[in-house]
Amino acid sequence: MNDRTQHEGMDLVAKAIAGWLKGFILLFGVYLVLHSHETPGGGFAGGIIIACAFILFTLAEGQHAGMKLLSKHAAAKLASVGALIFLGAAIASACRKGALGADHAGILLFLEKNAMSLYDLALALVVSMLIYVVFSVTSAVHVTVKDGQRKMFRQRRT
Amino acid sequence: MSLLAVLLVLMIIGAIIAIETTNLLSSIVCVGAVGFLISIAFLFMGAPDLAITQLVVEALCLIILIRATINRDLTSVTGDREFFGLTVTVAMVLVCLIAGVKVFEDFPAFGQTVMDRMADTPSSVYLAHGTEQTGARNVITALILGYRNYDALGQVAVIFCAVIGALAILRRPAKKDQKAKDSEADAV
Repeated sequence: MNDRTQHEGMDLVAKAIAGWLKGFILLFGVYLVLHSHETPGGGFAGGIIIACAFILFTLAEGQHAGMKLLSKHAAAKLASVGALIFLGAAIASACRKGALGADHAGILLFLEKNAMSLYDLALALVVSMLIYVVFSVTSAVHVTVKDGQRKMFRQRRT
Repeated sequence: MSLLAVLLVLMIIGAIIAIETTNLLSSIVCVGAVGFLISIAFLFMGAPDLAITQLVVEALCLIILIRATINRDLTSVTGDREFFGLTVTVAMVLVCLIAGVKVFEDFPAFGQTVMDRMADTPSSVYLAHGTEQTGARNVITALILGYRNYDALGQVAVIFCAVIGALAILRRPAKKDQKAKDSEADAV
């Protein structure tokens, strides 16, 4: 297990190309999120593409560089912020329209006009950070077989 | 329509290979192929939104699954099938197939939804008034994040609770346990 943590990441070519590409992938994800009310795509797909940029960086540069860029717990906190934005926007617009009022659109829509981008931003934040958390958790666990028994190990930080 | 049939046949072949092969990595690659074919099928049925989402999720799942299986000592599955279990499985699949054929006879034609038979359906209202009521030119977004926003809220809640719960279960153990784990790992 020790030799696996020493040579981190992939070779020089992969690192260089990932360094060039990750910005463009991030930009495309943000574009999909911000233009979701006009073009195909949306918060979910855009969020996963944003997560793909981080995952590409983590795969190329190794787990510790990826954790230094965005740690698991920071990602979970950002996802919580996104979920709270979604919930807050929903509650705020439901309160303002009157959820049980005569205007039945209040309970069905619970949105202001042109509030799509806010929901999409929140959705993209939640999805991208949670997918990154899933990736970092699954790539941090080893399964080894010893004496016919499967054992699960966590990768150590050092 | 014939193209869709070709895609469906390819998907079924890929799924069968994914089940039958003993190598874990090639099984994952076959599952990924099925997913990409589904996204092409969505594209030809006129659903670019779904196609983008399916493509992206499939690529990401492929990365995560390959990352989780490669470099592991556990890359192939061996062992014979039990005769009784196989027989029960085949019988259940046959029963489901017969029931499915009966159900499909009552379905509306391909591309004709049940909602379209009624006069004043929700879907036609959404299509007619979606743009001015929600301010989104993309009808899919107007539906998902407008009329069906409770649905989206529930989805966000589900994925959030699932991943945060998994993170809590798979977290690093406390300091005292960590020492024991480390010595155990060093022994291997």
